[in-house]
Formats: sequence, C-alpha cells, structure tokens
Amino acid sequence: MSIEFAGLSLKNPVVVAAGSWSSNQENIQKCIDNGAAMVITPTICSEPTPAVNPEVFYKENEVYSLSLYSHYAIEDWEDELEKVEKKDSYVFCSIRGTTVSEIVFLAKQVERIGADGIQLNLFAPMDISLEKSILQTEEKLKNTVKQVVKAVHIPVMVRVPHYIASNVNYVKALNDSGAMAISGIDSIRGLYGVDIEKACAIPDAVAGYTGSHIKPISLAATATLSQLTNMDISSVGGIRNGRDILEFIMLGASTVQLGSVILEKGHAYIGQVIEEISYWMQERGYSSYSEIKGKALNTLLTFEKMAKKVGR
Amino acid sequence: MNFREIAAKAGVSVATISRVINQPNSVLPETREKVLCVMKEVGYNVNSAKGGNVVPVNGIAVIVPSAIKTEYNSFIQGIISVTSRRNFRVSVFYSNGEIETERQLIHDILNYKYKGGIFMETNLSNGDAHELHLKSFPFVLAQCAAGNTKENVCCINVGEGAYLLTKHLLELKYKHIMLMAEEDSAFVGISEGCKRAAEEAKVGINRMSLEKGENGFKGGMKCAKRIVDMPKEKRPDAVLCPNDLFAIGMLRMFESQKIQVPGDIAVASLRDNELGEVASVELTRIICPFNRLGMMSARMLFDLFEDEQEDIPQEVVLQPKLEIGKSCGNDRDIVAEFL
Ligand SMILES: Cc1cc2nc3c(=O)[nH]c(=O)nc-3n(C[C@H](O)[C@H](O)[C@H](O)COP(=O)(O)O)c2cc1C
Repeated sequence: MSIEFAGLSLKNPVVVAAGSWSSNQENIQKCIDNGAAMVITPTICSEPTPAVNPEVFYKENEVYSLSLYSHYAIEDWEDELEKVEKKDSYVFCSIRGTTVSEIVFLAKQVERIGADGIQLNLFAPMDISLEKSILQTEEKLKNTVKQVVKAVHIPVMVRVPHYIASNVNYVKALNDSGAMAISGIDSIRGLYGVDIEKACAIPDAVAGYTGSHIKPISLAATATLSQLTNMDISSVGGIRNGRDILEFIMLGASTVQLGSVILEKGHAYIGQVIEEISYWMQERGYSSYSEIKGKALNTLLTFEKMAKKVGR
Repeated sequence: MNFREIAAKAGVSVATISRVINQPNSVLPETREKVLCVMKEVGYNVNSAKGGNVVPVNGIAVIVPSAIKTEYNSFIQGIISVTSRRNFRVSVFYSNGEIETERQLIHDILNYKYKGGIFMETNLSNGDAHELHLKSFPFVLAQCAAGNTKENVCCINVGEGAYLLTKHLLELKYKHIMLMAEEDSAFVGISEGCKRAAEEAKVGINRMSLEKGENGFKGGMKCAKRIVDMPKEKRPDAVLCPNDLFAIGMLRMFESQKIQVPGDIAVASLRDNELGEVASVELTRIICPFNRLGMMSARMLFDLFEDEQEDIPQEVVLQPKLEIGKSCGNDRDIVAEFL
C-alpha cells in the first residue's frame, strides 16, 4: 500500500517528525527499523544550537518543547547520515538560516550529505525573527522557497504554523514556489502558567506547545490546506495513534508525522501504529490510502450551509 | 563526469565521494570499493580533482588583519571546527590590515601550495583577486568590503545590525544619537545602516570619528571623556560603540564621572564579544556570528574543492541579531524577538 509523496514513493504514510527522537544516526535508525517510511532530522542550522536541560517540559499530558534546533553541525550530520542504513525509507533534513543565501547554502549542504528531501523550517514558534525579514510578505516567502527549490535536485517541503495554513495569500505564494509538499502545523507559542507565589513564568521561556491538545488545530489546518493547495500535505501536531493518522488522511493528508508520542512510548511504538492502520485498512477492504484520502472533506460545511442543513 | 554524477551512479551522497578521495579510511570498505569502481568505470582520475591529491598536505591558509580582536579568534575557531572534521590543517597569517603585506602573504601562500585560502576583511581589489583566480587557487573572502561580487564571499550583514540597533534606540525616543566609528572595512555598511534607520525616523545622526586603533577599551575611555567635556546641550543622549570592549571603556569613564547609564546617556554596541558579558551594565548590542562566519567560509571553500563546474561566485550573507540589555533603558524583556 505505497503512496506518492513529494515525488517519492513511500511504503506507508507514517513519517517521523523533526525532534529529539530523530536526533542522530541511532535514533533515525530506530525509526527506520520500526517501519517509518520517512524520517525528518531536527533542524540543521549553520551552527549547532546549544542544548538546554531539560529540553522538554511536561505538565499533565501537555508537552512544551524548549529545544530549538539540532545540537549537531552539518559535519556531524555528514558522519551520522553516512552510517544510516536507509533500506526503503527516506531521510529529509530540516533546515533553517537567517537569510535566503544562508538557507540556500544549507540546502545544498544537506543535499550533499545525502538528504532525500528538505523540510524548510521558517516559522519557528520560539524564534519568529524571519517573519520580520525574509518572510515579511507573501512575495518574500515565495522568493525564499523558490531560491531553495532552484538550488537543489531533491524535493522541498515547507513547514507552516496554523496561522499560515489559513492565510490564503501565503498558501498561494507557496503554491507558486515550486515546493512539492507542505507540512503543518508547527508547535504553538505557549506558556504553561505562572507561579503566582513567586510571580514567575513557567517555563522560563516561551515554549513550543504540542501534544494531543493541539490535534484539533492541526486537523483544521489540514482540512484548510486541502482546499487551498495541490501540494502534498504532511500533517503534524498532536498525533498519537493509528486512528489519529486515519483522521488526518481523511481530511486530505498524504503523510502523517509522529512526534513527541515517540518520546513517551519509545521507537517501537512506530511499528505498532503502522500495524494498527494497515489492519484497519485491510479489515475495511481498502487496498490503497488514496481510497480514503480526503474522504471526509465533503462533509465539512461552511457555517451558512451547516445552518441550512435539515435537522439543525 | 562530476561528483554529483558519480554519486548518483554509485548510489551514495556527494559527501561520500569526497570522503573516498580525502579521507578514504572514514568510508566503509564496501562503499569505498563501489565508488572507486564507478570512478574507474567512468575514467575519473582521483588526482585531477581540483584540490585533489596534488599537494601532500591538506592545508588551508587564513589571513586575518590582526590577533587583537576576539572576533577574529571566534572566526578562526569556526574555521577549525569545520576543517578538523575533514583532516585539513589551518595556518593563520596576519596582514596588519595593510594591503602590501596581504599581497606578500598571498604570494607566499601560493608558493607553499596550500589547497585554498580564506581571507578576512581583505583590502584586495577585484583586480588582485583576479590574479589569484588565474592561478586557479580556490579562495573565499570573508567580511570583505561591499562590491566584491566577482568572488566567493561570505559575510555578516553589519549594515543590517547597525540598522536594527539604531532603529531600536530611535524607538526608545533617543534623539541625539552619536555613532563612534573608524573608517575600517565595515564603516560604509554600518553608517548606511544607521542612516537608513535615521531617515525612516526623520532625524539625523552625528558621528565622532575614531583614529585607527582607537576602538578598544582605552579608546572607549577617551571618547567618553570627550563627551563628558562637551557642553551639556551638545552631548548625545545615546552612543553607538564599535564593539563591546569600547563600550566597557565608556561605561568605566561615565561611572567615574558620575554619569548614569542609561539615565543620562545610553550606550549600545555594534559588535558583541565575550568580554561584553562582564560589562557593569548589561549591554544592548548586536550579536555578530563570527564563529558561524568561519564555519560557513570553510564550507564554501570545501565546496570549491569539490565543484569543478560551478563557476558562478557564491555569496552567503549572515544576519546579525539584536540582544537587548539594560544599557539603553529598555524595560521590556522580549522585544528583541520582534524587531
Ligand atoms: C523535544 C522536541 C524537539 C523538537 N525539535 C524540532 C526541530 O529541531 N525542528 C522542527 O522543525 N521541529 C521540532 N520539534 C517539533 C516537532 O517536529 C513537532 O512539530 C511537534 O513535536 C508536534 O508534534 P507532536 O504533537 O506529535 O509532538 C520538536 C519538538 C519537540 C517536542
């Protein structure tokens, strides 16, 4: 039951998101060995990002990431990827830079070390500086992505936050940028709370809020993107199990990414999820994911149509 | 056939091809054999690769103006962090910022048969660099003056840094900003950045010019004294220092003269260095990523070794970042993110 994604043929729709669970050769190998069709590295920048401890802040099933990007330099990644046995899976490198020329350069570098594709990390929840420069307008966003697409021979996917997924002008700009795929959503700028006795914020920096609580937002983003773009969609944010994956596919996703759930349950869980969805598909007599892709979209109505619906 | 085509044919990455040539021991024997086989098949001569094994030592020559500024050390450190990973050695030469010395050094470097060079804040004109090109010597210019578009260039956009910092001061309602600057290679970019922000706010900016070598701690003390000696109505309400060390010198002088920072005058720095961390007032400053500049310059140079075909010069620009401290009277903590 293979699927087409960004010009590649994937053996299943399960992708591992960028994060500490894909931080090095060992972790990437675990993802591949457990059946993930594609793995995305943490974001590779020109300079390694310092590690903070702890990187993840958990509170009552909510996940707050304080980790920015990869702690490895490209040279380290060259060593790591050299050792990965990809089998029939793909590895995408997530990259980010401060200017168009820097991002283009990094794109060429990760292609050089063997990336099968690129996930552009432009809108990070904890560092929104690019939104004031190279992403300031739709035109600038389009140009940034275009330059990257032009510079490499591998597919480019752009990661967007929820507020961009529903911004028609920005999505249109991406449609015209040459990117093959779009992934969303980013984690959300979040704070857990304030210790009112000490009057101090928790945690002590704005974090990337994620986990199952953001699934409704990602679902809506996927549904919206399905209407606004023909690019392949890779859904991410709050996905916990096989059922979630099928929900996203029914709203138009081609692939679905697992993130922090791997931190909680370990890499073997990837295999369980894949089994869960294949079993469900077989049980229902589906022979291809294209049969269910976007199947629920036509039940989604505008407010006006919903109000007119008989029985409302 | 180039690296990319060989890589595709052998089913490995371009990086692996490069490893087979430069660090064969770091590649799995089966992979190495496979690559060598393909190379043989397509008639690729390993020794003819640009920067291939014609020279016995994998050496890279770096020229910096001096040993004084800590940013040069960060820059060199950045280069080394990349070159050491590929078994390349680095030799550092000092030009004292003089063009004659630079020419002589380059002459020597070519004689020593280095594989490539990285030249920092060079005074070389397009013509000089052209001469090097003729000898097919791969090199990257780091932080060169604007207008050197014919070469491979990597630089930090210091003008954008100056713009961000000036804009920040103007938004904090400072009206008489003074730029302390010597006319070095960064000067044009910096003064244009300041001017752009000033024009947007429809104000002017004064400048106090510094002598060569006056941009350290002592220079900061001296210039602060000049400001203290000005009639009160002529004094600036904010100063843009060339770097942290200069800013610390200013802070020291202002403190001794009972002038409050930022109460009486705001002090900001256009170029961070590690010493800035110990300033008596936490500095508002521009973080210039010199370590990253070194890393990127080295990577660009390695690309030149590998890419036999790409003759279009590359330019990589790095964006500096504003870090907001307490030296300019800002009382909001995370505004820097939004500037
Ligand atoms: C510890 C941690 C590290 C992460 N690192 C990155 C990263 O380097 N680059 C990136 O684009 N996203 C990163 N993310 C975000 C994830 O890719 C993903 O968007 C997020 O975890 C949401 O999915 P989830 O709800 O399945 O966890 C990270 C998330 C966490 C929790």
